[in-house]
Amino acid sequence: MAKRIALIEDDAAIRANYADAIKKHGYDVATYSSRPEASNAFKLRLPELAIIDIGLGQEPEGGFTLCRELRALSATLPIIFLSARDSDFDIVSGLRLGADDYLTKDVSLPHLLARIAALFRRAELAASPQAAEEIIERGPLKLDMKRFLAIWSDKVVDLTLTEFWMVHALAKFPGHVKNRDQLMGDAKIVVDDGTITSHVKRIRKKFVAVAEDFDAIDTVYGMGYRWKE
Amino acid sequence: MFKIGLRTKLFVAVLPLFAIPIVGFGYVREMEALLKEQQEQNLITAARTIATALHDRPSLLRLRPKDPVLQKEKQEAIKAFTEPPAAVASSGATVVDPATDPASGGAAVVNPVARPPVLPTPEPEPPNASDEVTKIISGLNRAKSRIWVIDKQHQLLALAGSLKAAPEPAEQPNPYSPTSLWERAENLLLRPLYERLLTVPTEDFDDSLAESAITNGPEVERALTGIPAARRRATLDNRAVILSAAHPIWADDDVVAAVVVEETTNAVQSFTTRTLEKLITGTLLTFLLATVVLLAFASRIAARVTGLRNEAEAAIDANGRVRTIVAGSSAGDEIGDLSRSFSQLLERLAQYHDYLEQLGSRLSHEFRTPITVVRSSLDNLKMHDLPDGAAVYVQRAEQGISRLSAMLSRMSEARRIEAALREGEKTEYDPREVVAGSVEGYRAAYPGVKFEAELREGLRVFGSPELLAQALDKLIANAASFAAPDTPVRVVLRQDEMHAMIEVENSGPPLPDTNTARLFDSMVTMRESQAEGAEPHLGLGLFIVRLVAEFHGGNAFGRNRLDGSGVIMVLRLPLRMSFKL
Repeated sequence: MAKRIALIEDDAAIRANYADAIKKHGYDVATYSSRPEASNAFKLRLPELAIIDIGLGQEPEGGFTLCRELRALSATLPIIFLSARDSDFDIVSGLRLGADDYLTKDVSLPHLLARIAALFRRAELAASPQAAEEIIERGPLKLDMKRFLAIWSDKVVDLTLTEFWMVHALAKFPGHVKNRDQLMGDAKIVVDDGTITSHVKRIRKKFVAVAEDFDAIDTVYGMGYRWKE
Repeated sequence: MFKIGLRTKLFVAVLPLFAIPIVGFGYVREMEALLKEQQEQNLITAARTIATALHDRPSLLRLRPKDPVLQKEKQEAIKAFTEPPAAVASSGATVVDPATDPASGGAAVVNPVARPPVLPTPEPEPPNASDEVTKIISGLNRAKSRIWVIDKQHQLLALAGSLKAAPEPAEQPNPYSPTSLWERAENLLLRPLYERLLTVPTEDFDDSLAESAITNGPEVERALTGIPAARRRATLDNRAVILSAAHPIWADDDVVAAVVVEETTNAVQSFTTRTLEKLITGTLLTFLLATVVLLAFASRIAARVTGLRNEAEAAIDANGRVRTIVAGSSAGDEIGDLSRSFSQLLERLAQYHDYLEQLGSRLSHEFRTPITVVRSSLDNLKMHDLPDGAAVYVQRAEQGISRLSAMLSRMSEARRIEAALREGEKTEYDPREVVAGSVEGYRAAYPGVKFEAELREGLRVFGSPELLAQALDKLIANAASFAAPDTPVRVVLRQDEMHAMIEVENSGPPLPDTNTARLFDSMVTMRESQAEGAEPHLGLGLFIVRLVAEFHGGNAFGRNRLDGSGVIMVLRLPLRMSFKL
């Protein structure tokens, strides 16, 4: 049975384009143009993944509200924010509401589809813990490549998909400097340098929240970042 | 240009007020004239009174000139004090008129007042009529006046009184005796002025006069013809004015003699002088007070206006950006109004400026949706089987949309950096690490450009190393794109007094002279042309540099090399002072 994806987007053209592309990859798509419409539908039936725009018609923060409602209905449902807004403030707010990822509309359709696939995989594996593990270990860091989980000293670091991919890109070859373009490629996002900087800042904070003395990510000025062991 | 301040203008504006003391002066003069007139009338009245006392008493006047010897003696006695001292001196005589002897002083004067009764003493035998007359006129005499009685032959019959005040021992009823501090100050400061400006009447004048000058005076002449008359004349030494009134003495219907009453105008004069002194003192005081008040007022206004000017000037920096809003004054007057409207004006200007600076990121946000439509459509299109030759157009469309998208994200980058600056945490760091690391990175990133670095160690600045690196990226990108082929880009970190200076220098076309300050504004670019296919320049790079510099408490500016062969962009960051020595 095809997976069911809810797409909440107020711009008709974008909605149709995304829906077409997602359908083409074998998913079922339910599209909604406003928050009330979507939340009514969710009360009847939950989708398996939701892609939410933040500004919805008359409600500039409608997506945030919807995300909160959806999280209340299901703790595990993967949620992706897809928004034209790219300020740190919006990104942090969105992720704090429990979204699994936050994408700006610069993202290309193939990248979006890769994320959808990854999130489904993570959800499936989380449901069946006995699945075979594929783990990268770098000192206290363990990266579960199947479940997209980052573990530092046996404590789970709650990373978004984008952040996980960035940590993975860095930790795969410790000591190698990854520049911003490479990180973007690995994380399947297209953003500017400033956004990468704030992503890295957020990742550091999340690790520091788990282990106070964390300093494994090194800034190499003018070049990029590297993983220190 | 010669500038006239408010104070000067106000001062000039009150100058017409000086007419008030001048009018006052004229008034006093008028009054003086009136008083003199009155004095003259009084004198004539006095002369008439005396004359009346002597009317119809020819016996008193008839004795002369019975005894020529006696008369001779008398004449000489009179002469002794009526003759001018000069004449006495020239004759070699030792008689000195004490009144005119400056050495003797007022107190030592042996006053002629004492003399007239002495005069007749040498001739005791005859029933001395002249003596009688003298007694009468002495009785009628007033203070400070002198009375002559002259017969028809212009011969002096009697003389009484003196023009000068009696020399009293306690003769300092000086109206100016310093009794209080104020008067003493007035004496000290204003007295010299008064003495220069005003004729202070003096008792120290020469009142001697040739007898003939009196006896033959025009007023006497007229009185002897039966008409009372008055005359005004200066003393010989010109130090006082003597007023004389003559009145005929009648015996039956004939004029037998004339009475001449003399008085100085000193009383009137000194009254006028005192009034004028009071006028001047009062005027000076009033003007002094008014000047102080006006000066204080004008200074206050000038200070407020100057303060407002300075505030308004400080409110807008060299780039025309509003730095601080003038705090509207709460004063209710026009200057307060001005300050408030300045405040409003600047606030609106600041809002407009904000709007302009936000415009880029707003546009980028608004454009993102249509771009997404185009991009997702293209992505979908690629999933279909396209006819041969169509793929290249899809590719071109994608390139175009990517460039547009890159531009937009660069536009929002400035805003994102501003946001990062707002919540930016500051740390102390050595800029050398950042600059050195960055230069290493640039060597890899710009393989075609040679980098030279000259970096000083041990400087500490306070801010964000990430942001500094970002700013440096922009400066280097800027320099690399402008650098003439095969010339190095030079990066220098040095100390300039209290600042760390990061200079990025490249050979190439110099900056235009105008607007170098605006280079660091949002959406300002000075590039004249750009290479085909190069990344578009939105003029945001240097704006970001400026934001980062300001975040560090410093500033950024660009200048040309002295020889015009290139451009130096400078980041000037204040040093963090360590208190360890």
